[in-house]
Amino acid sequence: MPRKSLQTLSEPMYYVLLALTKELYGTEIMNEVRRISGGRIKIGPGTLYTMLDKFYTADLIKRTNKSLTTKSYIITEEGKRVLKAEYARLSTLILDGENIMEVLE
Amino acid sequence: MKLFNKEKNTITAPFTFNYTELTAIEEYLTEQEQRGLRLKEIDGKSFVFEKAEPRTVRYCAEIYTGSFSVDFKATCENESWECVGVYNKELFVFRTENEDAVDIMTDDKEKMKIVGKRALLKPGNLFWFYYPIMQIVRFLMDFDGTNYVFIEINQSNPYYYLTISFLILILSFPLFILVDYFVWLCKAKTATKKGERIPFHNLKQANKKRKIRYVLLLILIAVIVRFNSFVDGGFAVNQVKLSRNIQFSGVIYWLFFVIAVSCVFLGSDSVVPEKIWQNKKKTVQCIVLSLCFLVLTVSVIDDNERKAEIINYNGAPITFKDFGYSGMLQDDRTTIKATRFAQQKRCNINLRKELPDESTDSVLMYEVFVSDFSDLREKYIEKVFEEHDIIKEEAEVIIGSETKWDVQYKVKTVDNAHIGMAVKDNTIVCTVMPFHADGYDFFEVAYEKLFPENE
Repeated sequence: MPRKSLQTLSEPMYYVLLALTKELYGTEIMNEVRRISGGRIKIGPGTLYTMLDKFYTADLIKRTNKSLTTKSYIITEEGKRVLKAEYARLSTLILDGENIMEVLE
Repeated sequence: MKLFNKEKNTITAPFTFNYTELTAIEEYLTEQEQRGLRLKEIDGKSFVFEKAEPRTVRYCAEIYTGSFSVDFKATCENESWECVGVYNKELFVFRTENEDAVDIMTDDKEKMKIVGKRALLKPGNLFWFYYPIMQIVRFLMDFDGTNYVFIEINQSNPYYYLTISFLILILSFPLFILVDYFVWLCKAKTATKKGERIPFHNLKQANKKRKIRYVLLLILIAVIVRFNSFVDGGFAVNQVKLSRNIQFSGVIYWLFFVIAVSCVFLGSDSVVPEKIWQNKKKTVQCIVLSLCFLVLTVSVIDDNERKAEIINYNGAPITFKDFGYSGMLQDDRTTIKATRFAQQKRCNINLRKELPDESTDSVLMYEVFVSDFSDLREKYIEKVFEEHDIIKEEAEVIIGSETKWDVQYKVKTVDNAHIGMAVKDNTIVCTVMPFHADGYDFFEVAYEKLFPENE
């Protein structure tokens, strides 16, 4: 089931969903992911569109027409919910480890 | 193999790669580029090259099966990857002169999943599994030797020992594809776990595997043509000589039937070139045509009046003419059945002209059944008695020394028909005669014909 497979997001998926909080098309998504991650995450077009297919099937994004010639994408409400849940999960991971990491230091 | 088109100044080469050979595809195209052949397009199942000045380019072959192929191509082009061609709507071939162009697929784990899923379903692969699976099913069904096409199962006949070899041969080609696939899949999973690049086969490996596939494919075709029985479509080594038309139509029958099954289960572009089967209407036409061919071929090969010569283990044919019946039809009305476990020849003769009295029941039948398997012979005997509503224990039984046969069964039925059965080693002769004359001499003559060296 597509939704179950997207309960937790991989790093590239997370950044792509972050990027799609704005309406963007293919190349813009790749550039935005690079920008948000400080150049750390580089996604190729093949990987990007494989992800977009999964997101689209799971209703996490929708297609829009930013211009007459290009198809663009933007996150849906469901996508925002999943993104927030992932953010909360990652935050929990950090919080849970904070005290222990302080001790280690 | 390349075909040169003089008019268009292009060269066509078949696409013979598997999806586990993406690296090999890239190396192959790069090699052609260096030889002055640039990939112009992918036309159906072929590469089309045009002559051009060699350039330093990078090729990239990727599989994309999603719904956004147009956007995908456009984005690739923005990243300086020119889409040169698409194979089977899912394998995209790109080219770039930019050495720093970003890789198209950067997630190896995802790439492995996609390739792993599509590699086995590549057009034509499952085609080669259909025939062996079907033959194995028939092999198992053939064990009931009385209902299927028979073969000569003389133990001195080398074909007897080829049964297992035959199975191994027809399975070797699809097994090679499967083993090759799963070995690659294991290596790919291990590599992605370690964070290494997926080990797609390179050009050298791909060429080697292609040669092995061709050899196994030739063996498979040779075995199919030589050994397959098209009589009743059974899986048997066919010792019965049939007309070439029947064998040829059998080949056509299988070809079209398999195409139909592939179209039904895999879609219209699974077996034939894309250009031919572009819509469902044509797929339906293909299936209907295949079914018509199936019916036509089955009706042809089910012709009981065909001439056939069956060679029994003593090499002597046996017909009613051998028993001195005059005035009968030139052609025996025979039914021949064979599997690898038994063979059977039945003659039904209408002797209305020859009757000494005015009996209306004029069908004279005799049957020869040969099997090395005692349980099949027992089953046959039971079946004959059951067919004629006879209780075996009520039959007159004559054993061994009183007759040249090991045992003889004789039954006189209510309507005065005589049923006789004689057994010797692995041979059973059975007769059903509507009149008394020659009812018992038959077996003496039959014995002389079947076992001449024992006289």
